Amino acid sequence: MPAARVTSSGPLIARALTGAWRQSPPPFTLSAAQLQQITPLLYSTGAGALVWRRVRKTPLQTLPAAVELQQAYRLQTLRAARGERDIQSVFALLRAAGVEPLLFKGWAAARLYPVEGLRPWGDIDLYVRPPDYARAQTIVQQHAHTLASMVDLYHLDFAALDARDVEELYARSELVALGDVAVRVPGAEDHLRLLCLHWLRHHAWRPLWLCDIAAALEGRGADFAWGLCLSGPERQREWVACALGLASELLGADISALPLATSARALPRWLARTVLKQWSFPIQYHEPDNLPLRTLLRRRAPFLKALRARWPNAIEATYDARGPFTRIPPLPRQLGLYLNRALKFLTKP
Amino acid sequence: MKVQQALARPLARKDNLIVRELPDETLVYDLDNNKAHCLNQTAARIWQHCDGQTSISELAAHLTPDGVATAAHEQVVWLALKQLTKDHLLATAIAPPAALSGLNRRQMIRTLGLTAAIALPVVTTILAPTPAQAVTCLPTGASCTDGAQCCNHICTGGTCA
Repeated sequence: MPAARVTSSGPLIARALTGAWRQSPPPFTLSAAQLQQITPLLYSTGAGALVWRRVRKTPLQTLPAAVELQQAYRLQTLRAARGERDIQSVFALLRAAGVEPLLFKGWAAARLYPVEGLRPWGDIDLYVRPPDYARAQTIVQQHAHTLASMVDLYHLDFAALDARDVEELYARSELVALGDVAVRVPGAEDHLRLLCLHWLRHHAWRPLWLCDIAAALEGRGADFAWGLCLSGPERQREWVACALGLASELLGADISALPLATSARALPRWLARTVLKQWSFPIQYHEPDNLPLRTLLRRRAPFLKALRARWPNAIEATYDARGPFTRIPPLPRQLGLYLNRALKFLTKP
Repeated sequence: MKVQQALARPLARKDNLIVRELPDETLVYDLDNNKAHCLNQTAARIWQHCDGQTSISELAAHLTPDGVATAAHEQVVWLALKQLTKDHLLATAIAPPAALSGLNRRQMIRTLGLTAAIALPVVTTILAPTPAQAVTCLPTGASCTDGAQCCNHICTGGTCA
């Protein structure tokens, strides 16, 4: 990955989002210039409203950057209201056909924040029992034109759930009122686990998703069963603990009750550095380079950029290899993944 | 849109609107044209009382704690109605009286700001510089660096397939 244009944005974003999911967030400590610097990144990654809530009662509230974040909050509030209609519709449609869906992430994560509109969401990620999948897909496709939100019935993160007993997953789920509809969401243990794995699968590039983890962690009930959350394959257990440790290290989430708190606090130093570097990049930073290779070869700069963009970060390389996050930076894994990608790119027709 | 005369009683539009009342303002999403609006407290109060039964002077009375409105308060109502009409938030467009129709918004504000002891009504359209949805995945055509970012998990040549 190329060097960050503004290297200090990642740590600033972490400071801006520290405790932002709480009912009473801590005092905001960034300067006007720092807020200005990170606002485009906050906005484009969906974390703007969370920071608006922190600055709205400070002298920074009248800054153009703060006003932009406030607009994000307003828009998200209205989009959430529109999306909630879609959730109600989809649940009613599926239930009418005898399919009981489980809603993950999105609204299920947003409801853990103290105010509507703080956490934007766009798609509706649903899990259904495997035998119901085809029927659910047909229903969703038939009604897609009536929905403003995209319904995602197939999600890679669900693969982590398939290893679990489906009926137990449903038995642990809970019904949450959304207007007149009872929306089924996963049990807190399953959801926190999925949020952690999902964030790492996406190479930790979105700070908002770490806030989700922190919100789910601190919002858990007294009966939260850590054994359930950390069950499953050993590697996944390590990854979940690692994500929770990063939520603590970067955003100040409270992991004192975590059984693996000691190991979660002893994260490799390169891990947090990699996350913060990721956060310094807008997703739009990499320009499309889908030109044929022979065209790129004639244009030296785009070609080199295309090659450079294939360099994986350390989290990406570790996750891709299903490896552990150890103290030694995974440079060989990065190199291997890079060569594989570069080779594919160079040999594509 | 049919234009109502000044003596008519304004009626707020209800259809295809999503409304969220916040402590300091009211947000309205117009599903017909996918526009979002923000009404400050004064504009929201007037809009909420536009039930097709309430006259301009009665609307003005809602702006004062003692229910006694002055001409300035009625002008404030007209200013709000003008903005609500422009943003299609009334069921029927409202035409201001001749004495006010010639004034532009800035002139009305300048006049009213000195005489009305309430905040002037403001209806703003909420604009987004860039999409900020925290969707899990990027749609086809969006820039990407890895398949994990794309909805269909295929990032080819820096673009989601």
